[in-house]
Amino acid sequence: MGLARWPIGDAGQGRLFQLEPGPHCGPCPVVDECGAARTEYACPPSWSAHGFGGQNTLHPDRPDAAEHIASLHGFQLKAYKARPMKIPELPGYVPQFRWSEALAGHLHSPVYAVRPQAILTRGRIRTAAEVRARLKLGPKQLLVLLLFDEDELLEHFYDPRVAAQLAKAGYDLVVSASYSVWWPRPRMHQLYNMTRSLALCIALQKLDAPAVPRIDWTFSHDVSRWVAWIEENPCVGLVAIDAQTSKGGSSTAWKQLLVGLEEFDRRTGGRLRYLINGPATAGRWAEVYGVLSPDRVTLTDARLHEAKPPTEQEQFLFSVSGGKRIDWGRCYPVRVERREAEVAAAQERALADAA
Amino acid sequence: MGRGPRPADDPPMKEPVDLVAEIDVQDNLGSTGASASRATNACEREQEVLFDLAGPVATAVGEEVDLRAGDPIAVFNHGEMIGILTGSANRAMQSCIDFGYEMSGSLVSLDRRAGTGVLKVSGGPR
Repeated sequence: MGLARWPIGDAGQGRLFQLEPGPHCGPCPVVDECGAARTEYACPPSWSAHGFGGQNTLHPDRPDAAEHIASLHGFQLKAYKARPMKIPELPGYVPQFRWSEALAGHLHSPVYAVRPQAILTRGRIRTAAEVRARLKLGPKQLLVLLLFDEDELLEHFYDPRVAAQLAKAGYDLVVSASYSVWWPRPRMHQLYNMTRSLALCIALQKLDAPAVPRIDWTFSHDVSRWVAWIEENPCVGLVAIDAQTSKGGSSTAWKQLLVGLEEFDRRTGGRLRYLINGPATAGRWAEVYGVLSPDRVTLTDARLHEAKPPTEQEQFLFSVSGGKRIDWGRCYPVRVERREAEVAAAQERALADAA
Repeated sequence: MGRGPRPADDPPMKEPVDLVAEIDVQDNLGSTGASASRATNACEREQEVLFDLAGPVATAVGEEVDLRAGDPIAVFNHGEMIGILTGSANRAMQSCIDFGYEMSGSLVSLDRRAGTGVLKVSGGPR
């Protein structure tokens, strides 16, 4: 699949004249890490009503900007060294579940992913052992904690004491938080959130939690930053991507993700495995498999929980339950099995096309 | 959790924190999972701590000092506040005070031009 161009103008791309540096670029202490100086990303030409993100974004004009920059080592990814961690093998599809006791006894897949909403309770973190006991999961069923959720919840984890609790919670894999990289937002805020994702990953690794980084980009400079980081940290074998909000068939964000993914994978030698959250249609899976070898991709999504018309199997379950309301706990594994089969078929198609 | 366009404001930003450095400090003090005895050792051990002077204070090298709870932690000499702790030293001493230690020692050096000084302190039972 040829994805040569970034959908939003990159440095010098398609322009007769180079853009001027952004208004804040001159005195900016992180201009090299930023890489946006002569692009539309330095200061976007148009902002939606909420594009600037309100008062809670990191902008060069904030009085505490220097402190935030310093706390993240000038947004230098190389300041964060990964440690070799024992990371479990993942299948091509990992279902996610939400906290519902109706699921107890109905979860039979070898791996499940859970999200912060399912494990945060009354100001503390449910341990993997608690989740297993309550939902009747076997000791060999793996639990992946996917720190992909609303930012308000994710902020909770950017705290040394909470990170320590999390590290001791016993999950088989922890995917670092996807602090949002919305567009448009001040470029500094995007750097802030991408760097914090990595900082949390490395903090968890220091605490011996099997954590993997979440990577993201808004344009090619970010991809270069991640490529350089991977080169300096060859022990990293799995990275995670949150594509949940890259919606819509012609979504610029989705295209931006794919172009970056192709570039990132090519420049890292096609050796990494990917855990990608979000794509939930055959069309999206095909696009992912168009840029990444299917055998290196694990897909996961939360869409199995969405209200949909019951499938034939679910209708059957409804009929045998004596006309009572559909037992969600019994329907959920049916949806999981169907999704696993769909993903496996998409993988096979992609491999056949490649051959 | 997202990327791409978003129609809402972001949540409040936290105070700047170097998460990895904090983990190191806390781990050295035993509060993130290492043993309590390691924490005890770290707090009881004599250690040099940099602090910021609170103006042109009347004190001298060798004088006795003690640390008092607060954020930032205050450095006192004969009942008078002479400075404050900052950064990782502040967080480390905060943890020791939280563990129930009374931190005291002496003034090792003063740099009045830079407005800083160095203490040598260790913890004892309160």
